[in-house]
Amino acid sequence: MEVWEQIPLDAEAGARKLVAEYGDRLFRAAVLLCRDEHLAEDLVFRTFERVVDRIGQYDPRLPFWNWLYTILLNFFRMDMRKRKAFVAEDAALADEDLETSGDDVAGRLSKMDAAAIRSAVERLSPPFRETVVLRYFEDKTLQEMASLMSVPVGTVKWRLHQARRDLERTLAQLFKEKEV
Amino acid sequence: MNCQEYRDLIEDALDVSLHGEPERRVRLHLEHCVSCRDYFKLRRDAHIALFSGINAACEGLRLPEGFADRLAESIRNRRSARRGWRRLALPRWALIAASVVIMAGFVFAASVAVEAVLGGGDEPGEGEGTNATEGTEATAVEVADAAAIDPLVSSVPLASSEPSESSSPSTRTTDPQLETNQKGETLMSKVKAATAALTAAMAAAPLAAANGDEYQFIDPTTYPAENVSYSARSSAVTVEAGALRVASVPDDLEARSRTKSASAAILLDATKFHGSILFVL
Repeated sequence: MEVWEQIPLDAEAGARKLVAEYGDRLFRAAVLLCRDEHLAEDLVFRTFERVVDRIGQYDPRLPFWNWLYTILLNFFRMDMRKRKAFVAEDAALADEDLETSGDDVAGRLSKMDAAAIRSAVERLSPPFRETVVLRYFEDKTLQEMASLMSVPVGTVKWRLHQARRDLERTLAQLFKEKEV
Repeated sequence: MNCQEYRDLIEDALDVSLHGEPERRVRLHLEHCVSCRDYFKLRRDAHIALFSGINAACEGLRLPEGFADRLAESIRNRRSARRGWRRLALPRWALIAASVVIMAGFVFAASVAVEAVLGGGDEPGEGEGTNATEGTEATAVEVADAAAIDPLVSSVPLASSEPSESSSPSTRTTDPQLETNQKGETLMSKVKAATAALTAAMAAAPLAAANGDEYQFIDPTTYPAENVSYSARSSAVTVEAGALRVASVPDDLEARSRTKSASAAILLDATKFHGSILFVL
C-alpha cells in the first residue's frame, strides 16, 4: 500500500511510513536549503504534518515526491519571508564581487571536499539555493524546476547561471583560504 | 556565431539536452575550436563535481532518532484536539446517514409536490408541494419544511444520554398527515432513524457547552478535510445559556454548497441539538 493510501486509513502509521520512505531525503534537501539541521528538522516536521492533514488534496496521478517537495519549499519560503531575508540576501549577493574568476575554479571543483561545497551552497541566497538544490541534489530538469518553484523557465536559467557563478566564486575563495 | 555565443549554448547543453540544429552546431564547433573544447570539459567537470559534491555533502545526514515517534504523537494530539470539546464532532457515519436521509426526504418532498400538482390538490399537501418546488432553487430550510423534516428540529436535551428522551421528540412532532400516508411513513421512519442516529451520537459524545463557546458547521461533503478552515470563518453557532444556538448562517455556506453536486449541509444546532437540518441544493 502506498503511503498516500495508508494515511487516510491510519494517520499515525502513515506518518511513520512517510518518515521511513521520504524522511532522510527530504531532510537533506531541507538542510541544504535552510543551512541548519535543527531548522531543517522543524521544516520536515511541519511538511509531514501538512501532508497528513491535506492528504485528500494529493492527486495520485502526479509524483508524490514533487508534492512533498512543493510543501517543503512553501514552508521554507514562508520562513524566509518572515525573516525578510529572501529579497535582502539576494540583492546582497548579486552585488558581491569576488576577485577570483569562476572559470579558474571549475576545474578544481572536483578536488574540493564535500564540506566546502556544502558551505558554498549554504552561502547562496535562498532563491539560488533552491535552484541549486533542485538541479544538483534533486536532479530536476529546468522545466520541472520551473514548475516546482512557480517561476518561468527563463528565470530558472538565470538563477541557475547566477547561482553557479556565486557558488564557484565562493568555492574559489574557500580554496584560496585553504591554500593560505 | 562567435565563441562566446557557443559558450552560452554549452552552458545550456549541460542543463538541458540540446537537440537538433543547436546540438549539431555546438558539436561541429567543438570539433574545430580547441579553446571552446577545453571550456566545455571544464564546465562539464564542474557540473559533475557539483552533482557529486552536493550529494556527498549531505550523504550522512539522517533525521534524528525519535523523529517518527514525535511526528506520530503530534498527529495523534492534533487529531484528538480537533475532536475536542470545542468541536461538534459527530461520527462520520452519523453525518453520512443523516445526509442520505435528508436527500431521500427531498426526493419524497418533490414527489409529494408532483403528486399534489398532478392529483389536483385533493390533499392538504398542496401547499407543501409548492414549497418543495421553490426549495429547488432556494435554501433547503424550505425544503425541509416542505418535506416535513421538521421533526428533526426536535427537542433533544444537550448531552442527553437517555434513549427515551432521544426518541420521543420525533414522535411528538410528527406530522399526522404524513403519518397516515404510506410514503410519509417511510419518510418518517427514515427521519426517525436519522434523529436517533444523531441523538445517539450526541449521547455518546455529550457537549460541555459554556457561554462564549463557538461551534461549527459541519459540511459532510467536505468533512473532515476542509472543515477546520471552513468553520474557522463561520462563528455562526454560539452558546447561550448552556445551549448551542444558531446565530446566523454563514454567507458562503450556500454558495459553497452550490458548487457541490449532491450537497447537504447539516447545520447542527444543539440548542435543542436538533439540528436544524439545512438542506442546500
